[in-house]
Amino acid sequence: MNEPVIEVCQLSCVFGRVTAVREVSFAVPQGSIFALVGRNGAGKTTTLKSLMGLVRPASGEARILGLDCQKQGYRLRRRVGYLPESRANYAYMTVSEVLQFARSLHSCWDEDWVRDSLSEFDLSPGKRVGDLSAGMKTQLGFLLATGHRPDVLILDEPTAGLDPVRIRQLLRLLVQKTAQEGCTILLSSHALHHVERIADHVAVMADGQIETIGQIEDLKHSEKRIRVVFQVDPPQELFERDEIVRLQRDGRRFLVTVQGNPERVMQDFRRIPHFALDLLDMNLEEMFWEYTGRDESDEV
Amino acid sequence: MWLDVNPSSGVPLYVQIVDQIREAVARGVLSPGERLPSVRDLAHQLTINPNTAARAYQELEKKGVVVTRQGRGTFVCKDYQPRRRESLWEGIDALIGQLVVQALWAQVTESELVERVKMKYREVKSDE
Amino acid sequence: MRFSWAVFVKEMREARWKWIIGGAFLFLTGASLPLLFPYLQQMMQGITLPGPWASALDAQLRNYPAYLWLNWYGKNLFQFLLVMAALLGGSSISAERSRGSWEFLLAQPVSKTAVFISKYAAGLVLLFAVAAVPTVFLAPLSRLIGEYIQLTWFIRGLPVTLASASLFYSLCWILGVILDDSLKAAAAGAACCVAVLAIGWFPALQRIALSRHLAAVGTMQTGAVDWPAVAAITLLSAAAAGAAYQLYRGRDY
Repeated sequence: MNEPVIEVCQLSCVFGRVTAVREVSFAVPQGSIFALVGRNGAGKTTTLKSLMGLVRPASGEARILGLDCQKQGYRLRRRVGYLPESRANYAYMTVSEVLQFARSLHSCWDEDWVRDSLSEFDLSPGKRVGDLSAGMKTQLGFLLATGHRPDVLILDEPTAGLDPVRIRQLLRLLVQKTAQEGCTILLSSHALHHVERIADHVAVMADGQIETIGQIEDLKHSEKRIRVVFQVDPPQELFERDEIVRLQRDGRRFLVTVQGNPERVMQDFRRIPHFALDLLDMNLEEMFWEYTGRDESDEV
Repeated sequence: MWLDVNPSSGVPLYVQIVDQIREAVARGVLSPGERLPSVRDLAHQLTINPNTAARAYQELEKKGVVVTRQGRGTFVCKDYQPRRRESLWEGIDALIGQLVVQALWAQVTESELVERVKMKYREVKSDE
Repeated sequence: MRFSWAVFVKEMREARWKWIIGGAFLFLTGASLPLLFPYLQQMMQGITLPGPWASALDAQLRNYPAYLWLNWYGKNLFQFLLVMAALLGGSSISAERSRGSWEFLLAQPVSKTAVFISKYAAGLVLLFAVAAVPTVFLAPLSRLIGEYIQLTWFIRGLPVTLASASLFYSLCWILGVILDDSLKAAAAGAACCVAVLAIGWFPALQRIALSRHLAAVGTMQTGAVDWPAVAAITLLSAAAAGAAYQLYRGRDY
């Protein structure tokens, strides 16, 4: 159950003078849905590309199902489905021609799944790929990635270009893939709220590095916010503690972000006369901003 | 499905499911011996990760709310006694906290607040 | 897996308009050579051209096989092969890149080597087939106007022509691998084309001029296939294809 299917170890990718990915490490256990979130340009796509052997890493190692992503790519691609960042595909072919082409490259092909999904997606087989909308291209890409019943799915921004109904539909298919076939899924997204519903593991990337990583449920526990309104001006030392990772102030009102156990911080706060003192759960979106949007989100 | 989860909330999804199922049992929405959807179905219905659904059921089993019979499914325990006071007070305390803060801001005195609470309690109770 | 039929077939399909239009054009212009010959003879009676042109034209008009060879290998097929080799060779990889289908193709269970070989082979087979079929067809077509050419003699020009075309094709492949854009690759192919022709303008470089071999000039003069030249050009073509492969493997995809 917890044997990692995807293992990335100290991976770095360099393009010219730009380091797109810097010493990234993570492991995706069997049957889980792992979300790589971050803003555009954080290094998510490059990480996924290097897993598919499309980018040569400067250093580090990546393995899927025990196979080396750089050296054993051919064997690997039979068992991995990939939704690339570019959804363009062969514009001159029709939907059914592209599917036929993909089918001719694979030794096994799940005809029923593809047919059912086609009708569920409202994709007409006779339509030219070039004439599809962005969302339809994403759906076609998803079909192409899943048609051969892969053990592992690597999806680059699978919800991009889809409307909320289509997003929900896609998420449900992903849940079905893991629940029924034990498929392991690694996906990237710049919109955490699209994927936090189905992901069980999450890594937040910024500037080519992983800022935080863990099981979603644990991450929700790991950081808390304390909202406090003091009656007097509190001493500055009160906030000089390791647990406090962020402090927002407006007069005597404070919003304090705490990592780890907030109890000791709460105790200290309680000693100062206050109007209100609350411990708030922190949702992932807020944490995401904490890690990736420092510069923009200095509100309060 | 009467379960309603909010993935964006700071409360972990599995905790939300556990709380809602416990509450449903405590209120009698789910009766003892009733069968719950399988992990797979629950994951599909709520569009959540199957591991999250499984974790919720594990947690419920640990607390003695449900029991899983191999190959037959997950059922509400026949002999589950909801420890109402303990579990429900958690939520109520949080709400009281907010209430008191609001009252302080509005400069409502303690006795005024208590009086209002009493009034509301009687009002709601007579409606039932 | 060194070869993928699926990719090969896809390439053939993808290039189908290139070879349908190119082939039709080549066939029609090729057919016009024997069909226009009698009219050309009539037309040129009584017109005297100055100096060297007069004798060259006169020789052609009196000698139908020489007329056909010089026009076919030296003009029609020659131009066709240059354009087609540049189009097929230059666009094969760069088109996949510029239209964004590359990542999809490389995520399929085909080795990168198989992709290269299948694509290279598809282009080459097309190039050869579209060139060879009308060449063979010119012999029966000549009967229509009452002229006779020996087929076994006429196709002797093909080996050196096709070998030269394959070298040019391989050179264009290098461009197609390096450049990310099929338009740029086509432009670079045209530049490469000019360079190849330019060498032929220097009399001292006749032996190594690709354009001269492409036009099968030597074969017509001797009447026999210049096998050492064919072998040398084929080797060079293989070397160019190998270089393209090395560049292809060395790139991020």
